[in-house]
Amino acid sequence: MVNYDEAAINRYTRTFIDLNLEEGYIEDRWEKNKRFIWTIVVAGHLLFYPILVDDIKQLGPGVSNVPITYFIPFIISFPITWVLIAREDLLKKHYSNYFTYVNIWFMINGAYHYNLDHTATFPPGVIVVPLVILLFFMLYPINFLNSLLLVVASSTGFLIYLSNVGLIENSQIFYIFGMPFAYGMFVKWSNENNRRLDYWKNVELNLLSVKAESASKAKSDFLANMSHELRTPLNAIIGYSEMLMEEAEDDELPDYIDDLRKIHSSGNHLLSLINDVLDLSKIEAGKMELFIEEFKFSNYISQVEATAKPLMEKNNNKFILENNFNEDVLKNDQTKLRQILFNVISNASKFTKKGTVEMSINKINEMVEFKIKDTGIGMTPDQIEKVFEEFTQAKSSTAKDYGGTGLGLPISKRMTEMMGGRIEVESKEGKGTTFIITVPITVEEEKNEKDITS
Amino acid sequence: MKKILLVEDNEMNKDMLSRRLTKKGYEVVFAMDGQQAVDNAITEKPDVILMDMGLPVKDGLQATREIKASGETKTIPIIALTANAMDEHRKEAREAGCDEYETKPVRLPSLIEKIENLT
Repeated sequence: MVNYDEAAINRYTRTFIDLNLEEGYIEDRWEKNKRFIWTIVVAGHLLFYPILVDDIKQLGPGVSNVPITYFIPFIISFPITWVLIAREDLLKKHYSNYFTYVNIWFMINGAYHYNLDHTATFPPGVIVVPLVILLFFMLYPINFLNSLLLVVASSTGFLIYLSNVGLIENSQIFYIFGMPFAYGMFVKWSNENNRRLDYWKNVELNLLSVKAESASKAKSDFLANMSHELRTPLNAIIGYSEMLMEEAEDDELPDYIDDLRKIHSSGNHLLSLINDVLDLSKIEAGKMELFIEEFKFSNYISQVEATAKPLMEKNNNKFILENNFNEDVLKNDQTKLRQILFNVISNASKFTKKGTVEMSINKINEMVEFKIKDTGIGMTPDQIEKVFEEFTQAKSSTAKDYGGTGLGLPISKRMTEMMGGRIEVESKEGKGTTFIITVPITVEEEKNEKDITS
Repeated sequence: MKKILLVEDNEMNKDMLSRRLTKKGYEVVFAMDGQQAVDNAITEKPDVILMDMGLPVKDGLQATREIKASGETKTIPIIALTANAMDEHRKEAREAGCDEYETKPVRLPSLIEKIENLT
């Protein structure tokens, strides 16, 4: 089951509805801003080249005079920029981090230039470096990466300051304040934008999960209502045909009895299909519950036998019951246990012709074991593997030849597990099949509740 | 002859069930809604009540609670009848005071067995 914070979802959903936004908002947002972001990346990148040239000129007459460390920011940022320009998906994901990086670079560069210039009189370097750091804190949303880069940047700036105590030309104030400020504003904007994107992404994800949840709930509600609606007319079909059958028997009209029986049994068949679909939808929706009560086992099993025997007639099978279970009281959901047993017995009889279906009941530890063995067509290993899967019957032709929804065994398995028991199958093709159902003699109420929610 | 109070608002179900029960030798009296069920339980003094759950005016659960709360009628056994197979409905019916539960479509032999056990 999906766990979610309902209040948060309501909040998100309400915001979503209030702002009248559609799904795919993130995509839209990116589509609207990408030209601008792209322009900044390309233009900012082009701006690097004159700065690079200017720096080299200031540092000395030849490239060989420039220390290699000086090129590190360029060596790192240029390939990254080209990749970002070439790959829209990466730009979409990383542009705000990229801008942070570039901005830091500008700050170091500004502090560096400031300290290089011996003519600057105001402000002195000792104030500039902390000012830059302060500006940085004001402009950037601080995260781990930003803090780390900040430490590196400020300590570098401070080292440069120590080695070059000097003054600055008015024009170079641009490097120190102007560029970082301009860039900083943009990064702040884009970081906020990123946070907004994250927010909407969360909204979208939450909405999707809410939709999936409500779709599954709507589905199971629909199925529950639908099967109720289907049962009402079926009621009349089954009830009246049964009544007419009784009347035809009393009035000795054998011709009618046969046809009426067909209506009656088709109605019952349809009813069992509806019940299976309803059961499965209940299990899927986690709404299946056990009704644990104590009942007399001997009475119970003779009832099961009485319902099983008529099933055998169709394929001329023989039903053998071997009851070695001596305790008289069982604590379980008797309706569901009957449903499981009946399901397996009717399957056994369906796939067996002129053979036997044998049910033996034994006590094993604190469990009661029902072993239902037939002499029917059996199953291949592949078929055994799929026997408890929903909506799979051994062959697609099986449904045609033998009928049924293919839901009986999956439902039986889930219900046995709810009781804290298990169901196993042994089979050989052509040799028959044995189903072994083991359930506790006493099913604990708490246990089944826990099973439902898990 | 045992008297059954059949509380059912659907004409077809009422007709079908009452005809079959009459044939089996029961006397069947009717109520069309929950309020009538409460009233008729007092006036008719039936041996058993077959109670549909989805009723107009006053639903089956409420009618059951009232019948079970009244000193005159609390000993009359009630069998809940409903087309709804959901387990929670069965639980609700039990909690309201129904003695037995039968899912529609009604299987007559099983219903008769329940009636006989309770009366």
